[in-house]
Amino acid sequence: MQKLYSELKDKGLELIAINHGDSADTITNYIKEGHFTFDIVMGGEEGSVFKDYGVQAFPTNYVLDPDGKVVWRGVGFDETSIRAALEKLGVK
Amino acid sequence: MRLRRAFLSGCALLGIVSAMASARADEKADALLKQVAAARKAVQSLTADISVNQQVGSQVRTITGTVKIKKPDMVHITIGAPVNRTIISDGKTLYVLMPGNQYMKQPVPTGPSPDFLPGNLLFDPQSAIGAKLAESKPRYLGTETVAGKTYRVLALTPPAPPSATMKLYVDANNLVTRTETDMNNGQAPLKMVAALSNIKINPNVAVAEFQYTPPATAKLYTEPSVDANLVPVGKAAPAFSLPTPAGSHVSLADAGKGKKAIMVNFWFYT
Repeated sequence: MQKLYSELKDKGLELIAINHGDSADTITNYIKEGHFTFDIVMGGEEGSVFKDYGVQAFPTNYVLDPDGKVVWRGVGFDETSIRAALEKLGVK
Repeated sequence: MRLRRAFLSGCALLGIVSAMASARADEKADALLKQVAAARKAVQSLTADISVNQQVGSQVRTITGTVKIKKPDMVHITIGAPVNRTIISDGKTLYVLMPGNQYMKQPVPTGPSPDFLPGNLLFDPQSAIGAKLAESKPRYLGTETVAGKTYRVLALTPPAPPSATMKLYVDANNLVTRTETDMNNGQAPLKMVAALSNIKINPNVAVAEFQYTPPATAKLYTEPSVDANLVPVGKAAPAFSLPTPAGSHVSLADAGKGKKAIMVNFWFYT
């Protein structure tokens, strides 16, 4: 995911990773280890964001247009489909 | 995989046993295990009442039911509320009957003594899992009397993870008819006590008790799909503003400003 982001951030991609249930320390260490440069936020254990987005399994990914409309979504990391959706939005 | 819901605790134990490494030798424990193996081998059929008490964090749940087994691999287990399941195996096909006239179906796992019962009840030292357990050199703790019954108790402490201790209670018939498991996976500690009572060894149980044909009206259960509730394509993604580990906030509205596409990823580490 970092690779995808590094490659496409200058082409207009924003990536927000919403964590489920881990502590701030755990996430901070993980960011350090992985050298992640995208936004990572804490959704909490019972955060409403998971319910709002209908997330029942991890990872779940959404691709949104600049107005926040859903262009693609799926469970798992289906890189081919994600890239295709981003390409439709001019990010390639 | 499907059975995991019905036998959550039983499956957890499979994990424990497979994670076991060697501990120190204990002759009394080894001798007792041999007796258990012999007694288990002599069981052609068995009926009993079962109770499983599970404590996860502060939540306690007790389920009760009845168990019938018959060699080879025939099982009929009825579990009451709140689980409400009936498990029937004719030795080839395993059916799990669920509320709402639904059922699951799967081939019976091959190998000696499939471990159908939760909590390693009727533990068989000669099953695949049992063999691993025997390698772990369990410790003999002595006798313990529970509800008027005296058991000889074996303790197992597999290395972390998962951090767990398991006690097998061997009854006067040399069968493991009570087990206690304490598990701490770093989240909510789990304690499970499983026990058989009203045990009858080698009663006459008709083969018909282990046969099941789903009625035409019954439905094959399918797992609810994990993407059923996702926001549909074309709809607006719900707004959010969430904290970063460093203490600032990221909102969907702000993050997308001046971008061509926004990817939102949901993940967890542990």
